[in-house]
Amino acid sequence: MFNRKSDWHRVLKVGLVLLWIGGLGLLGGCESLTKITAAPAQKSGVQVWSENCATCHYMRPPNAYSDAQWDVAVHHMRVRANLTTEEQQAILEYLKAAN
Amino acid sequence: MDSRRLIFGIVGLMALTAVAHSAQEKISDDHYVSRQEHEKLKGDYEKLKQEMEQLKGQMQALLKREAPAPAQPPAPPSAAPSPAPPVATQPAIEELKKELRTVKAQAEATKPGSTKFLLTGYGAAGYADRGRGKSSFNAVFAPIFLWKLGDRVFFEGEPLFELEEDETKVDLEYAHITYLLNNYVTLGAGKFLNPSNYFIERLHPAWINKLPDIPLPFVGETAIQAESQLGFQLRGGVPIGPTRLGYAFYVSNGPKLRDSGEDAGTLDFDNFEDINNDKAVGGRIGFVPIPYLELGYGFEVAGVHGNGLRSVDAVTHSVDANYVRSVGWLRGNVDFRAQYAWLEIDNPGVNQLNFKNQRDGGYAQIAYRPSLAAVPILKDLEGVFRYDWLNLPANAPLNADEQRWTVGLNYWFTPSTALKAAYEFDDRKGAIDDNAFLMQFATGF
Ligand code: HEC
Repeated sequence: MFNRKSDWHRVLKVGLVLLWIGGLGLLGGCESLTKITAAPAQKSGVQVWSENCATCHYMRPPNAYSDAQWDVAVHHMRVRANLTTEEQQAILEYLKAAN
Repeated sequence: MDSRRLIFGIVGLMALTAVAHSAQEKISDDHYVSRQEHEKLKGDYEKLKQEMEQLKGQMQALLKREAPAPAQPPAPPSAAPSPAPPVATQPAIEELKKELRTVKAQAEATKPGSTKFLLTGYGAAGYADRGRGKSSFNAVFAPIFLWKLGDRVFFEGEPLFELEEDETKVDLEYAHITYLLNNYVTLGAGKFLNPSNYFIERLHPAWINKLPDIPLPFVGETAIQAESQLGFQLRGGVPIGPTRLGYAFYVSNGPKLRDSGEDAGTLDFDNFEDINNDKAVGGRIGFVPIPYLELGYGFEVAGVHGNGLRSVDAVTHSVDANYVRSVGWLRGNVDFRAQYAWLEIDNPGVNQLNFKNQRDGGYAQIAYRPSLAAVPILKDLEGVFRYDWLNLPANAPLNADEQRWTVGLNYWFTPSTALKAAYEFDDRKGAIDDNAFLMQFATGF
């Protein structure tokens, strides 16, 4: 079916555009957009960790590092993954309690 | 030209305002105490509390003995001299003071200073058997040095050692200092991974990349997007209701245009001594509408020129989509990635470069690992499929469009150690295909 290269490209391009539209639709349909709040306050540390730390690579278990090592690694990741201070702190608290 | 100056001006002003603002905020130093030490101090504290209670009891008992007539009205405070502490409690108080001093000294001794260091990084050993070349082993070693200086200042540095033909090549992957201006804005300067290129910034290290090689648009002299930038950047993330937005904008030296020879018309991204005053401005915004799904748009606008040529514009765009999630009914982890980038460089009208200089390329990849399966060995196996392609300008010296289909199988020993095997079906226009068998053993430490 996809023996011509341009077919593949069309499928990919259309797919990416649809994903964007779908994403923006989800945002638009969201009632809570009116109150711009820092969501992590309501989320548990383990949830903030599992939502933000598995999207690029598999997660190392909390006991892989000591508290002091997590301080450094999570600051590194906070910058790389564009996380906020609240998210950084919630993740650190969870990792330090669980290691 | 003028609009570019304006952009620099605005970015510069923003940075200055942000620095000035954040300088007014109080920097709270975190003095770290480990769990063990904390437990010990807690124990000591409990002991002290108990002793205090005991002492209190003793004091009350003593006071009761010395004042046996409760019916007596209290003497006016000015008239009565305050009673000296009963002789029996004196040594106890002395002992308490002594213990307090020891506990204080212990607490002081565990204060570790505010700078923390972590040596991490990755290493990989590989084997490639390409149809058109000889088969060969290869190895990389990339230590990463991280320093956290207080709450706001952070440095990351990574040299990359790579065996190439008969030599060991050393590259500075990054040397990047960052400063947290506030919750949502970080200022970075130095050499950093290209924020407008999702794959390179976030997925390229061998222990993260699910296949032994890198998609076509991001490697070699025909690459569309750079691996790194030398300059400064502003980046951060903002939660918006249940969604979140990440961003990074940079100003950098930007690339050079290769103007002669086999690779005329391609960009040289290793432009560390800028040959002109045309900087590059670029960035990426990533939008997370629901957890685990990220959609990104990246761009770069740069003035480029070869030696002695007039400057022309090079404009790059990229879009990416990423979905990674453990799915119950699929009994495992699904990892989907796609990125598409296109680049257009204006025609400077000179001989070697007198063609429509447009290139585009991308990849789409899906990986599945039955991490929730009951059978232990299955849990750690992962299947990967990737399609990648690169289209080059028809009239450029390097013009063989290429596409590849790659299937791979990985075994994960730990969350950051994998043995990968892959077969690549290659298709090049007007050139011999280069099918390949690839293996790689990679670990992040
Ligand atoms: C945006 C993608 C991304 C996200 C999200 C991410 N990481 Fe990483 N992580 C990386 C990359 C890329 C590296 C490798 C660093 C390098 O090679 O420059 C890495 C490296 C690491 C390391 C090795 C030590 C180090 O600092 O380099 C640890 C530990 C780690 N990540 C933990 C985490 C944790 C915990 C989170 C959640 C806060 C997280 N990661 C979120 C991309 C990400």
